[in-house]
Amino acid sequence: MKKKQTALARKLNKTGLLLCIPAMLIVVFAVYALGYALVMSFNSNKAIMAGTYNFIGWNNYIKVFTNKDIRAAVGNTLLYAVCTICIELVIGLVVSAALRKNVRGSGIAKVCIILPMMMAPIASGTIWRWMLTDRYGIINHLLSFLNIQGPIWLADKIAAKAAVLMVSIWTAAPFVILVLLAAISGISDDIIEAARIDGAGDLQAYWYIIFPHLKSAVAVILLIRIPDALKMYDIVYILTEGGPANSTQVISYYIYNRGFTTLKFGEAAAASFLLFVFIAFFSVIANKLIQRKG
Amino acid sequence: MKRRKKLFSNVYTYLVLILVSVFMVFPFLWLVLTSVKTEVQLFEVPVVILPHPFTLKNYSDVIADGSIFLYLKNSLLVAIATTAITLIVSLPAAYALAKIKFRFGKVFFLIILVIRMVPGVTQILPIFQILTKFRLINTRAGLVLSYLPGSVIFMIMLLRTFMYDFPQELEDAGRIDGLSIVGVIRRLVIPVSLPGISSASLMCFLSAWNEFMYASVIIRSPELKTMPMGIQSYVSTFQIYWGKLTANAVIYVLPVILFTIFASKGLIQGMTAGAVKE
Repeated sequence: MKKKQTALARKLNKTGLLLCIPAMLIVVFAVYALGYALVMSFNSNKAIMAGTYNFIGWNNYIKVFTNKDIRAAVGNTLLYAVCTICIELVIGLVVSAALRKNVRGSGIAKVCIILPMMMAPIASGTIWRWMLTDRYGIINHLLSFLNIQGPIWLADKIAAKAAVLMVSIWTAAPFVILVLLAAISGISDDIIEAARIDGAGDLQAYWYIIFPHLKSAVAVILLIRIPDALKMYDIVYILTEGGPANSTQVISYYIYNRGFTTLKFGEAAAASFLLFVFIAFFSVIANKLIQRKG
Repeated sequence: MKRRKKLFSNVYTYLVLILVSVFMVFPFLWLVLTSVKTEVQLFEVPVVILPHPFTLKNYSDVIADGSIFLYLKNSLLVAIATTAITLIVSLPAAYALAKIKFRFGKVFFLIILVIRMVPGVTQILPIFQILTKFRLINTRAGLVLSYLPGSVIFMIMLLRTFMYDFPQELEDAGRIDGLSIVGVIRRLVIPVSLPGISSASLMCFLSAWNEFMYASVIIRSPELKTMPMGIQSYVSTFQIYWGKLTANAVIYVLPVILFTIFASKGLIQGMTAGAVKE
């Protein structure tokens, strides 16, 4: 099937390539870095620090798999990903349905909702940390109005997990709300009106008409949010530093510390490469599933 | 009966919107309130909600100290450089990937998709080593370079979806009138997709402005620190200076908040376009 190229096709080939060259340079740099990480993961920690190469086979990977701390980190990350995304979806569905009604003031609500997305995680993390301090924190003060004795948030294993969860929902729910809102705004009022005339109530109209339309938006959200949740890092760094007793340790923060605090670059590279492969594997499978359905 | 039902549904809608807005905005409010409290008010039990009298001492301390201007300048320089380079690099590539069928286009786009999945922490380990090798560690240029892969790929993905929408007839008309491809991009594509381009650039700017992990690894000298690192330095010390920290944070996020309020429509469009279109 080798056709001779026309002059136009050849010209397009050339211009397409030319336009992409600057971007290609950057992408080549990224590919180079990824390859470098792979090479690093088979190098010994000492050799990396000295800038030489000492092939040690799968040793770094074996260390990663036999490490107890990383198992805790993986467990926490998965738990955290499942919980945040489920709660975000519930919030997203409820709030986007409310925003759809376009009541007076929903413009203000929209601005309020996107603010957390714009804020630097480091800044939002610190302010939440201050709000969560046990005696001087506003959250426990507000809880005391409800006669609830607030926990020592960041020093208690379970409470610290809840705190990390709450803050990450606060940062990521806006995105979920916006995507669902974009999808829900595309549904014309006529269909819903028709259902109304046929006697459907609010809830029925939502469940049978609006919800099925949101399926592809939910799929997109999962596709973006799951990798994001698996990469989560800033909030743990600023809020708990993985503590108390590793109860909020997550994969990215563990790798960061392994590399830049304890200087075990080989092990960190091995673990980070595994994280990449896992995320890539997940994304490809999820993409395939969604495409087959759609 | 019907009216009552409608009233109930409205009350419910307002309740949901008010609850979620309060949840989202409260930390900002508390940030500002904390920054105008005195040291004594900060640690009063029970918690003081509205400080009376309020103080601006935290702000005057932060300004007198002066390092915040340095951090702001560094953040601004890094974010502007990242955004500018990203735009120059991504615009033609996004156009080519959306509109031109060429030989390596598909392969190139596939590589972009793969690289997009690489987590930040997987990139920063080798980038740290590479930058050390080329003596770019602890420089602003090194930091910008470390941001480029992520921001360029984000920008290409987003702009490509805008470019798809660019009407073919307009492009053909331009070509017939004798514009080169670069001319078409400069005279037609950019002006028409300007809203999309500007919200994409704004997001690119913000992600560099807000970034912490890479900066904390690459930058060492105090005079090169970016704003998130400046805020972090109030935490890592033995005692946390909440008053000064929050004053710093207010100055840091205020421009972002103002911008969000004014540009919220474009932002919402830009943020969701990439997600919904595909």
